[in-house]
Amino acid sequence: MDSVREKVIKLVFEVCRPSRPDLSDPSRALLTVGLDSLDYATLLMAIEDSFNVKVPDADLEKVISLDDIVKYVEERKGA
Amino acid sequence: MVRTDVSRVDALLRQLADSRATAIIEGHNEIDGRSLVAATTAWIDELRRRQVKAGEVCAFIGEFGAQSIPLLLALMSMRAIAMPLTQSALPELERLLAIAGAQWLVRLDAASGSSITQVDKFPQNHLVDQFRQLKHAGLIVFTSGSSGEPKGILHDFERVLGKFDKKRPGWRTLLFLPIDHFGGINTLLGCLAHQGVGICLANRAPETVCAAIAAARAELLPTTPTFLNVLLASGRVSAYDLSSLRLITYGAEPMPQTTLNRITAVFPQAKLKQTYGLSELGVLHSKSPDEKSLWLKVGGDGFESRVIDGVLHIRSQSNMIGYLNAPNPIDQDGWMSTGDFVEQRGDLVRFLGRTSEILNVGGQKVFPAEVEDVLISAPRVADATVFGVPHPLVGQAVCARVSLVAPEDPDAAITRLRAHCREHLAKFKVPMRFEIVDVAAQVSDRNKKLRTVNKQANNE
Repeated sequence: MDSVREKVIKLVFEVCRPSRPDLSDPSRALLTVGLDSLDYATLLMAIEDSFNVKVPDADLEKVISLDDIVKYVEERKGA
Repeated sequence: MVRTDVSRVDALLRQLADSRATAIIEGHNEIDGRSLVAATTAWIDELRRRQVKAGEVCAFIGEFGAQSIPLLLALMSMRAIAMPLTQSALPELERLLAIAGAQWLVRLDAASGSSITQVDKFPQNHLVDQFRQLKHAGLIVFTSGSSGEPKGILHDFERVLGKFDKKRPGWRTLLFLPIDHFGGINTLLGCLAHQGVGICLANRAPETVCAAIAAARAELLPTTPTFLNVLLASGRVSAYDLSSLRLITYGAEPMPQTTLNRITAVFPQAKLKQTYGLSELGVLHSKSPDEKSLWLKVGGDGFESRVIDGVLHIRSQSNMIGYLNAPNPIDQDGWMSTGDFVEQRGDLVRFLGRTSEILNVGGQKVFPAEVEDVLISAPRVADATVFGVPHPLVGQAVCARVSLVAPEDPDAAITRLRAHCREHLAKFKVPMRFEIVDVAAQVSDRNKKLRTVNKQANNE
């Protein structure tokens, strides 16, 4: 079974196709590694759907980077 | 208010009384014009016995059938104000009766008999009071209001019937649109006025509709794009002989080009015609350059149209008298904004969607109908509805609910649908969220969306 990180990376590439963002530094803000605002908004909705978590507006600053998202999901899924 | 010297209602009843031709079919029961008028007379006697008078608002609950149609004609003949309702109105019955100031309620029940009840607790509506002075038959239908309060629409039957002054061919027509919608009443009156045949339906399930077409050799199916999608997805078309269909008319919502193409292929013998109407203005005559085209010319006798800032405006001789409980949206020159965004090419228009339905994604306009059309063109898609949800980053996010013709892994379906949209749409139009639902949920979704759109439209 994929880890949370693997699933999130898959979703990032899925929503960004055909472009491939540079995820070599997972601490960087996703909006600076090749995702535009539409990709990023789509990614957050896909994260919510895939992991059955809700990302309230107030938490947007907690899901800036790949690392942030993985941590956010793991904390809420008890992984 | 327009006063006509010769009553169109009386002329219609006289025409029916002279006819031995079938006017209505309900199941195996065929009713000719003379019998229909006899049933109408029986209703008049009963209503008079109960002291129902001209100008009074009489609500009735039922679907198109051998009881409701003569009752409607009786109320027209008596110059009463008919207020047709269906079972779906029951949860808000009191509210609807109050808006109209209804004085009578007839419950139609073929099994247990009908009941006529006087309801005298509601204050009288000012517009209805004014209308009574004309001594014309009236019609009240409802449309959803923005605040959840339904809007009552008052029509003058003399005006409504004016559309049928010009003789046209009569069709064997399914009474598919509900009796409590203006489109349903328009279909019925068209049938009766042009000496066609109105075919009643027990319900609107694809199986029932197909069976009725086959049994009654129906020629005209007036319907909606949603039903046509459901019909295609049901797989029941090939089980019945539907070769009698000569014309399918559709309206009420934008038609996806893909659905239009599929329907044309499935019913090669039938012409397809887009119709356009509003409960407030009536149903306009329309003509397309060809049946696969979504471009059409709207108007015809009694209607004028113009486009202002991309929005269609209509002036109609069959305008409603007014709303019972809301300001009149028709200006002093008789024009009303339809709230429909259109693209214009010469005297043809193509409907893009409701002004109230347009989504704003990061400052860019998205017409849900365009996205729905692309989704429906994807392989193995039965239907799709597109809507917006608020999003903190982009204002609104485009979301899609999609039903599939066969079960499929939802994740795989979403991946291929997203890829399909990316291939055919600008990036900002690609849905950010997909939900895979079954066909039944899709129909409910579309109906809800239509109600929402109507609500928004009526708030403009």
